[in-house]
Amino acid sequence: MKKTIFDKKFIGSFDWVLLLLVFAVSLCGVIIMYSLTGSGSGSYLYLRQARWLLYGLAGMTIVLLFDYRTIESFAYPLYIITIILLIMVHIYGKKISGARRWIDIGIITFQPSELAKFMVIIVLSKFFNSRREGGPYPLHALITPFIIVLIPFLIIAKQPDLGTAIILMLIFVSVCLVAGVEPRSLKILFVVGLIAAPLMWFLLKDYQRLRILTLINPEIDPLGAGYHIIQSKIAVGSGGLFGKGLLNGTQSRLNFLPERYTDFIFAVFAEEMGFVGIFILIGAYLTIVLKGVDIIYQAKDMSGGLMAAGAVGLLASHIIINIAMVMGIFPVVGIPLPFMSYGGSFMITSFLTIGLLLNIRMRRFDK
Amino acid sequence: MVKDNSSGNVVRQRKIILSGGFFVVIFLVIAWRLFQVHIVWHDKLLKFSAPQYSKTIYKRPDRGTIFDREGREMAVTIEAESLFVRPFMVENVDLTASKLSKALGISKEKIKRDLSGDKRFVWIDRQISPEVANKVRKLNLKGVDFLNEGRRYYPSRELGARSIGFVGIDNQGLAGIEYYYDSYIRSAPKKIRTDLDLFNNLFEGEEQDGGNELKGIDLVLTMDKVIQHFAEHELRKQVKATNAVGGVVIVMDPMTGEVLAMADQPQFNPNEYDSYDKRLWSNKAVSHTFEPGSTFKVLLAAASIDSGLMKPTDTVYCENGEYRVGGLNIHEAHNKKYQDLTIKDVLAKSSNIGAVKIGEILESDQFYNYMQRFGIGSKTGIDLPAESNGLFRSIDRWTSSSLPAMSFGQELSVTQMQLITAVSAVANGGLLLKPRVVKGLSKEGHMVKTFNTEVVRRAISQDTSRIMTDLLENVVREGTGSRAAISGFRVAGKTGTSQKSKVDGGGYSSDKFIATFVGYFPAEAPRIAILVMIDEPQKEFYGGVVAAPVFKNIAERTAGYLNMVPDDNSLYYVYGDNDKLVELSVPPLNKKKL
Repeated sequence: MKKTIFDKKFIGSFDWVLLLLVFAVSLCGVIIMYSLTGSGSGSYLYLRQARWLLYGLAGMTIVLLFDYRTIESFAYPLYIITIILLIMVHIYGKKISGARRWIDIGIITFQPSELAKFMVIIVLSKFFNSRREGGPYPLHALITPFIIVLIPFLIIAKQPDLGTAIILMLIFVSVCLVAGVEPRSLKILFVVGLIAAPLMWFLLKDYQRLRILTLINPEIDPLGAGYHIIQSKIAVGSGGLFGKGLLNGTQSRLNFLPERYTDFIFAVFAEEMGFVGIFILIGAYLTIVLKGVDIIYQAKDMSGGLMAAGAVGLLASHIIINIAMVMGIFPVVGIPLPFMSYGGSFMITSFLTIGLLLNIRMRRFDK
Repeated sequence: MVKDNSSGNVVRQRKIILSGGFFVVIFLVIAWRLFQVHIVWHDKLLKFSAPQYSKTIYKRPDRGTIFDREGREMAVTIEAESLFVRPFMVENVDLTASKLSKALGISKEKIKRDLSGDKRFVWIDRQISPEVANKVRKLNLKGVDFLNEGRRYYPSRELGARSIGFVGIDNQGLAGIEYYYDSYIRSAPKKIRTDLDLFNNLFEGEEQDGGNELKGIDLVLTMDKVIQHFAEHELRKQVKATNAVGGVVIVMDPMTGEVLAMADQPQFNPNEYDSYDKRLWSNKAVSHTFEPGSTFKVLLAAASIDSGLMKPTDTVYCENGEYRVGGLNIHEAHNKKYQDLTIKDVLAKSSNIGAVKIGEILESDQFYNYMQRFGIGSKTGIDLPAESNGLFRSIDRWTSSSLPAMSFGQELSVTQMQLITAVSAVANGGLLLKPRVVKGLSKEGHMVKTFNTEVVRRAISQDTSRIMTDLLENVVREGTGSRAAISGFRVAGKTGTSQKSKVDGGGYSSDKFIATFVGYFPAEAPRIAILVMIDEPQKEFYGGVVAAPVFKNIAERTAGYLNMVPDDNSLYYVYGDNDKLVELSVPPLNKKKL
C-alpha cells in the first residue's frame, strides 16, 4: 500500500531538527554573502544565493515525495544520462577559469559533475543491493563497483576537477564500508594505499604538487600557490574570539581573500563571526554529519543504509575537506562547503542529498 | 539494516559509535586547528594583516581658491576624473587600446605601450571632461577605471593669467602666484590612513577625507578683476592698433604698493598653458628688463631737487641740441634745439641734454645714492617668482659715459615693476613701498591673515614729492604727456621712448622702440598709478603718442569704476616725512585748464 508524504507516520518520524539545522546554515551563507557584497557592485550575489536556496528546498521536497526505493530503480538510466552529460561537457561545455565544468541546457547552466555525485550514491546502492550474497565482500567483488565509479571519476578529473573526482571516490569508500568489506581485504587495501600514495605524487601536475608543498610551508610561494592558505589563515586568525562583525571583515571584503564567495566562505565567516561563531557553525555541521550516521543504521533496509552512507560520505567529505583546506591542513582543492558556498548546482546537490537522508529516516518504519 | 535481534543491535551500536566517533575525531582535529589559528595566533596574524589593507597614502588637499580683492574667483578647483588602467586586468590589449584611443583621441600605439607594461597602475589620461569620462565608462572595459582628482580651473581664462600663473598635472604650482604661494594654497599633504584593497582601490567609499578641513588656504589678491580687465582690454587694443609685438600694463595703488592689475600682451590661457609657447608663461612686468629711457628722468629730477643741489627754477643749458660728453654724442628727440631750460621744462620737453646736465650737477655719488634709494638695481621684493634685479652697475665699474647715459635712462635696465614702484614713491610722499599682489589669506570666507604695507625706505622727502608731482602734472598739462590727460582729474606722469638694444649687443636699434608712459592720479593725492609699455610699436613709437592714450583710457575707466569724484576737493592723504599719513588739503583743480 502506497502512502503519501502527508501520512501521519511520515510526519511523525520526520527529522525536523536536521532540516532546521541545514536551513539555518544555508541562511548563514546568504547573510555572509550579503556581508561580502553589501551595497557594492556584486550585491545581486546574495539574492541569487537565496534563490538557489529555494531551488534546493524544492529539489529536496521532490526527493521526499518518492520512496527512495523508487528513486533507486532509476539508477542505471540515471547513470547513463549522467555519463552522456559529462561527455557533452567536454565537447560543448562552457569554459570558466581554465576548466570545462558547466553545460548550458537552455534554461540553466549547471555542472553535470554535481549530478554525478548524487548519481554515484544511487548507482552504488543499487549495485550492492542487487547482489545475491551480502557483505562483507572480498576484494574482487569490489572491482565492478569501482569501475562504475572510475568512469565518471576519469571524465571529471579530465575537466579538470580533481576535487569533485576525489569526492566520488570518497562516496565509493563510504558506501563500501557500510556494505561491508572483509577485514583481510581492508588490510590489503590499506597497505596498497600506503604504497600508492607516494607513487601518486608522480601523477600529479606541477601546480598540484606545489599546493601540497605549500601546505607544509606556505612561504615557499607566498604570492602564488601559498597565497590562498596565507590569506585564509590571516582572515580566520584576525577574527579573534568574537569576530569583526558582519560587514567588517577587512581581509575578506578587501579582495585579499581569493574565492571568498565559494571555496573560502568559511574563512569569511570565521573573520566576521570569530571563534565563538565558528564553533557554533562547526557544531552544526558535526550534528548534521552525526545525524546522517544515525540514519545509516536506522534505515529499515539495505538500500536505505547504503544510500544514507553515500549521502553522509558526500556531505562529510565536503565539509571536512573544505574546512581543513581553509584552515591550512589540507591542500587547496576546489571543494565547496555544503549549504554555504556560492553556487547553484552544488546547493541543489546538497539539498537533494539531505532530501535523501530525510527520506530514508522518514520511511524507516514503513513497510 | 535493521535486524530484529539483540546481537544485531549491539553490532549496530558499535558501528554507530565507530563511524560517529571517526567524524567526531576529525572535527576535534579541525577544532584544535581552529583554536590554534584563531586564538593563539590571533595577535600575530592580525599584525600581519594590518599593513596589508591599511596603507598610509598622502593625499594633497584641494588647492585653495584664488579670489580677487573683491572676492571674485580667479582660480578654483573643480572635480575632474582621471583615467587609469591596471594592465594585468586588461583582457584584450589590442581591443582596449583601440577603443580608448577612439574615445580619448590618444594614439593607439601609446596606449598599447602603456597597457603592455608590467606595472600595476598606469595613468592613461588625467583630468578629463565628464563627457569623455562617461563615454569611456560606457565602453565597460576591464581594468579601466577612474579616480577623482581636483583640477585647477581659471574661470576668467587669460585674465590675470601672467601673475596668477598655473599648476601642473599634480596640482603643483608652476608659475606666478600659484607657484609663489604654493605652500599656502596647496597646503601640507595630509597623511591619511586608508583601507586599500589588493588593487589599491580606496575601499568602498571609506575614503577618510576630512572634507573642507583638508582644503588649502584661499588667497585674496590685491588684483581687482575689473581693473585687470580694463588694463588688458586697453593694452590689447593698442598693441593691435600699433602692430606692436607686445606690451605691459601695471596698475598700482601708490599708497600701499598693492598691484591692482598687471596685464601682459600677448596673453595665454592658463587652462591650456601647455599649448602656448613657454616664453609666454613668464611675467614680463617683473622678469624682463628694459632701458627706461626718458621715464627715468623722473627719478633724476627728484634726486636733484631732494639733494638740494637744484631748485625747480634753476636752469641748465641745453647746448642747442647737440652735446658731446664721455664719448657720447647726445641729441634731442625730434632733433629739437633747446637753450636754457628749467627742470620743469626738461621734464615737459623730455630734453636729453638737459637730463645729462642735471646728472652732471648731481655727480656720480649722489646719482648712485638716489637711484639705490629708489630701488634701482635691486628686487622690489614683490611676491612673485622670477623677479629680476635689473642692471645697475656698481659705481666703481662706471666709465666716463655712464653718468651721462644713465641720466636719460640708458646703460641701465629696470623692470616695469621697479619703475612703477619708484614712481609711486615720488607720488605718495616719498616712501618706497614693497609692491605685492596678495592682500591676505582667507579660510571659509574669513581673512585669517592680512599682509600689511611694507615700507622699504624713504626715497625722497614729502616736499620733493609735492614739487615733483607739480612738475609731472605739468608734463601732462603742457608737455609730451598731454594725451594722458583725463577730464576732471589732475594727472602727473612722464613719457618715455627708448631704442631697443640690438640683439647682437652692438648699440641701439634704429627701428625698434619701447614706448612708455608712467603716471598717477589724482596728482596731489594719488590713488592710482599706472605704467604702460608698448613693445615695438610700428610707425608711431613715441611714448606720448602710443602709451599715454592707454594710460588715459585705463585711468578714466578705473576712476569711473571706483566712483572717484572729479574735481573733488575733499581731504586726501599722503605719507608725511615721519612716514605717517598726513592730511592733504587738495587745492581746487587748476583753473588754467587741463
